[in-house]
Amino acid sequence: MTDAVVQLKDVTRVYGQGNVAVHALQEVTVEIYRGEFVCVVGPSGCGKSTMLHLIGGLDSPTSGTVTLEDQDLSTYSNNELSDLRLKRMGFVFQAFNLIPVLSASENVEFILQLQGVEPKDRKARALEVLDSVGLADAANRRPGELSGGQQQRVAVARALVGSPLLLIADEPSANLDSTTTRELCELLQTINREHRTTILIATHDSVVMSYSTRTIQLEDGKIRQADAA
Amino acid sequence: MLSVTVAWRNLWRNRRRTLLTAGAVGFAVLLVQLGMSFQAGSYEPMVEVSTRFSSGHMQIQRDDYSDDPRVERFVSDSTKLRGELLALPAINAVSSRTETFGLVTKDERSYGALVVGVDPLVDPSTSHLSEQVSRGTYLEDPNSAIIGSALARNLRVDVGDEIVILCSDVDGSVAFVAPTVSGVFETGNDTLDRSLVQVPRELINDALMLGDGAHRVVIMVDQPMLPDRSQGTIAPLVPPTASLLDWRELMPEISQSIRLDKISNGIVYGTLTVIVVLSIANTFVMTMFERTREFGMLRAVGMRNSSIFGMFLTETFLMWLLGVAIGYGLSTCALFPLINFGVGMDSMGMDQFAGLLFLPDRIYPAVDLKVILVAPISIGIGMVLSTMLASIRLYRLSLVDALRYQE
Ligand SMILES: Nc1ncnc2c1ncn2[C@@H]1O[C@H](COP(=O)(O)OP(=O)(O)OP(=O)(O)O)[C@@H](O)[C@H]1O
Ligand SMILES: [Mg+2]
Repeated sequence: MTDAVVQLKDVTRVYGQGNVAVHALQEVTVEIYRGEFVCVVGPSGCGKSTMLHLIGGLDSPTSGTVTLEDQDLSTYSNNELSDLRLKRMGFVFQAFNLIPVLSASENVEFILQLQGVEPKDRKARALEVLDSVGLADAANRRPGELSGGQQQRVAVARALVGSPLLLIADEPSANLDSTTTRELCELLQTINREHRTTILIATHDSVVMSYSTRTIQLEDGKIRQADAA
Repeated sequence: MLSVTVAWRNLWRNRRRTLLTAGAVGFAVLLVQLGMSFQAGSYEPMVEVSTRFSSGHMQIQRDDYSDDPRVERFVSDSTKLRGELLALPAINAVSSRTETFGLVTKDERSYGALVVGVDPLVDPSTSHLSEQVSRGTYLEDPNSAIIGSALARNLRVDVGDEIVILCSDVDGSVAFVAPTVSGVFETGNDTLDRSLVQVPRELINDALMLGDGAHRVVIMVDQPMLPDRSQGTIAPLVPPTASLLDWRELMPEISQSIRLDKISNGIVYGTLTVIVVLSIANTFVMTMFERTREFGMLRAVGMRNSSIFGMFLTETFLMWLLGVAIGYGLSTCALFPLINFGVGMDSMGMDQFAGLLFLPDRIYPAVDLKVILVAPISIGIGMVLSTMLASIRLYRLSLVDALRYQE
């Protein structure tokens, strides 16, 4: 039993075979601890998304092990991984995070429904969490009627509503200007501090990095330098 | 509940495509329902018209009569049998007929003809012949005859002339009757007009020494399209050496043409359904590609493949409901006036064939459960299969590929 929420041990991920094989990650060993705000940084194609996907159980390693709270993810079935993501993790991607035909609050309620929350509690919970990301006014608007920053905050709200252990974000600020990026980061920092939610972000953005408690630098699928927590 | 909302709103994301698809479903439903109801509506009148030419809905005959119709192969005590049959609730009318081949002679001219003896007061309830007398009157006199128009022309006889009919009686001896022509009929059916003579049954029975015998006891029932149902109730009354035949056996060409019609129409409807379903399948597969990223996202936030598939099925179901509603709406508008007023054969340019094909003057579409359900159910099954086909991608595509998918 360790304090690590996430552990990668000798993780290698190879896409394709033979001549076209791409070693997206090579023998990566790293631990992420509860309450950390970690940024994964590095040039394009260095394997940031691959690492996040492996940790989120969206993909599985070619070799090595990924463990979440000491549980080897390779022992989970597809449906168990779905449930794990639903109840223990929150995801925010660069774009296309929301169901376009649902309003902001319905998007949050949709996750609550999947989580099996009683119908009567859903609405209140959704509004509460939207309020906490400063979007109480936009609750009834659909994604198409929200700005990029607002959409990302709805995605954060949705990721948070199940009080996850781990929030994973892949370049969440790629489509945002620096002011909006700062607002988003401050929101994430608040969540990180108040709820001790572990946050893992892949980013190119130095603004985002400045909020982190630690950065993991990747280069050609290998870790170049990992600051101590 | 939210997943139904998502499914419903997803339908309207591409309004035009949804309307086109639902419209195609609706149109197919309309076409199949129109076609099937006209088909269903035409069979009964067709059977009704054709059986009233001569065969009736059912007949009791001696077992060996249909193989070799000889005079001595008759059903005896036919009047008593008729009374018993009429007491059955499913039976509308019964008429006994005697039948023999004879030589019809006038002066030096002779033609072979089918001579049928009928009870003039009873037979019109089973046959239209009495209404088709175009000159003179139906059998009013005990010693009268009506003859087909072509036969009358050939014999050069007209109303009021006496004809002589030669035939052989039950013992094989020559017998004859000499009735006066009271009427000439014109059915439009060549064979009948050329070779049929009707006389009162008593007249011919006396000559043939048949007593109260009859070769055919013709029966009209309430539900001619369900002959098996009536057969059960009639069977106990059939004499031991006789058998009960229904119109399918008496007029095999009619039941065959109905069968053929059903098969050929079935092929048309089947093809139509397959075409509509294939275009729907194509749409669904395209939709799957367009929404790859969305599925990646839904899977990433913890939705199971089966739930996503369920959402798809819900969309399909709603699309189907919409299409069927459109189809029912259209076919109600189309069928309602048609059911009330029918369609005349003349408006379809079919009137000159009507007599030949045993078609009635007007067809009224008939709507039954089969007409209502066949198209929606078969299209529905096709749509579910299409959804499954499109969803194969959902299960085959890896999650990371879905997330990285570029449209
Ligand atoms: N499905 C795949 N098939 C083949 N190669 C892949 C696949 N996915 C990723 N790769 C390759 O793996 C390497 C790592 O990709 P990854 O997306 O993890 O990089 P990244 O650091 O997230 O880059 P970016 O900053 O551009 O998002 C890249 O060279 C990429 O081309
Ligand atoms: Mg990436």
